[in-house]
Amino acid sequence: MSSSSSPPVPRLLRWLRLGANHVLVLMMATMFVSFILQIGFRYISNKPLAWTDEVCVLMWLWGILWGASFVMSNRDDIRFDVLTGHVPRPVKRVLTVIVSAAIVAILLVSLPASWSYITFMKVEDSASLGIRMDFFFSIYIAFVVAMVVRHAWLGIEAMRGRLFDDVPAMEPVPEPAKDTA
Amino acid sequence: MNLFSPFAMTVYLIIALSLMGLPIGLSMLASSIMYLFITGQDMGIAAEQLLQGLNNSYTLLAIPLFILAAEIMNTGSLTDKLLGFCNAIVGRFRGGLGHVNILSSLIFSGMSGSAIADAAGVGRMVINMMTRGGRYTPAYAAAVTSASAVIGPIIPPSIPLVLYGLISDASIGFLFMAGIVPGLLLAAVLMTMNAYLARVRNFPVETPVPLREIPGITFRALPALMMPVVLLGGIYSGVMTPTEAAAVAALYALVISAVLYRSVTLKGAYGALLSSGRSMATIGLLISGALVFNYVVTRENIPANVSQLLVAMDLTPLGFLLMVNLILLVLGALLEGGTILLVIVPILIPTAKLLGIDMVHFGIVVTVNLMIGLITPPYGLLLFIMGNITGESIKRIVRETLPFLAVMLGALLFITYVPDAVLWLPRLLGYQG
Repeated sequence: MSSSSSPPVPRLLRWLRLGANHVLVLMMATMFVSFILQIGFRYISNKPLAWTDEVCVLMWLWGILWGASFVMSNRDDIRFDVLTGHVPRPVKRVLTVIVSAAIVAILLVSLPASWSYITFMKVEDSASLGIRMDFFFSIYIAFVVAMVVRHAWLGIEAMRGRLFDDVPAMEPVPEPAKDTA
Repeated sequence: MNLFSPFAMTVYLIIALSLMGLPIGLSMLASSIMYLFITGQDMGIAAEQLLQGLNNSYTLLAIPLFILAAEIMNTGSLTDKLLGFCNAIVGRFRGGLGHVNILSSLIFSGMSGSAIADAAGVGRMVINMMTRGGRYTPAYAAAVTSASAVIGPIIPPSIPLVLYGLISDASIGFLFMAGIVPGLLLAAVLMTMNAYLARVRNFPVETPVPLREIPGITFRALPALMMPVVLLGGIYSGVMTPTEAAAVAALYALVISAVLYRSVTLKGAYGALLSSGRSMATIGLLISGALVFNYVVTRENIPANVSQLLVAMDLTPLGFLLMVNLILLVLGALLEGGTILLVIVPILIPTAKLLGIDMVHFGIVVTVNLMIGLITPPYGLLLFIMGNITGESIKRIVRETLPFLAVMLGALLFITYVPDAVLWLPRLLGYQG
């Protein structure tokens, strides 16, 4: 889809998004491989690895918050669209603006407290890899900032008259891959 | 109960934000932060609960790995081999493809832990088989597919049962074992209904696969058919924890698809990892919100209060279970199952314990209940996915689903009131309950 004539900003966004996807795939692969190593080492060579557990948990925590921040589209979310699916468009726009403002405000208000909790955690290290826990947990800050930016954007777009689900769903359910058979 | 207490405000805010279209996980997170704010607590507690909660939920790692296993299987031609096998066995009867649909869901459910993955993967292929040449209406195909996809998370492995294990402290191994009989029971009632409808409505009969070809077809499908055996064998022999078994399931799927069936490309593997990563983030966000909200619930002592209230009502264990059935069926038709499991069920568990209800049995009842919710009109999620796949109107799909729904509710009653049927198999393997 990318053509050389596309404007630079959307192209940059697309690259960033693709990069974010690669990172998530790498995290999933790391988690999977660590698990297999863990089982293998325990039962085949009888030498349990201590670090694999920690890597898996790190990938789980980072994968969720990374994925939620940078990979998931608004459509991937589990939401309750019983009401919003049936109200007239102007009402839906107003609702989107209210909800976005609320979430942006709440997350921003809580940001200093979250920051101080996470920086406080620098006193602890993880058990086997010795990773400082403030680093371990820093993804939460990225998540909060990403959510603030995303919802501020959704709110502004709604004010301008655009809603995120205007375009019909492209991938409601995973299509069985056709190029592999 | 005070209708204007901070806790009540929190609940109103969750409902309001979700109704206005905010993702449910985020609604719970934001509302709980609001609760911390109005009660004058440190708002950093939200970050702490979320991060420490995810950090300490090692068992939940089974979820992304089971999803990965299902994704890999949906990529490979493993599905074709299984469908060929099912067709050879039950395709010869009247309404045969309906039976193929149910049987393939049953076998597939022994591999993936999610009803949605089953419906979207193998379900989509069976629908194509059924509707080709106008032999079955898309609505009927959709109805059988969604009804049989419900079996997926009841037969192990199962994502809802992993979540339930986390909130109830029941053993995931025994929960998995306890799901087998109810899963088979559901498959049996669905097949009976399909056979009945096939006779009444004179559904077509497929050309039977010659008996002498069956051994060959079975042999080719054998590696795929062995998957549940590998998985459950690993867990029950004590070689693997359920979480490790999930990783092994993914590895097994990858190896047989890549080596034996030669159907996995690098691109396919990337796609499977990405889409399981996305699913992990989706469900993880929900879990995150629930972790923070559960702090609020615990702090307000809600489970104990509810249990006092319910005990004061002098409910018998059966009366309580019946009430749970009703509540979950109603909620299940409105809300997504994971939300109910993580938010509502923990509130009911102390009462169930107090009434002497077995935690493994309760887990199966709750799960079957929630899965039936997936096909209960008006908002069962599977109905919408089916509408999406077949392009058929939801109304028509619902009409075709009703007979199946009726027999499944019958099975649910049986599962609820005959705990021995559920607990028989786990007890055989040493469950003390």
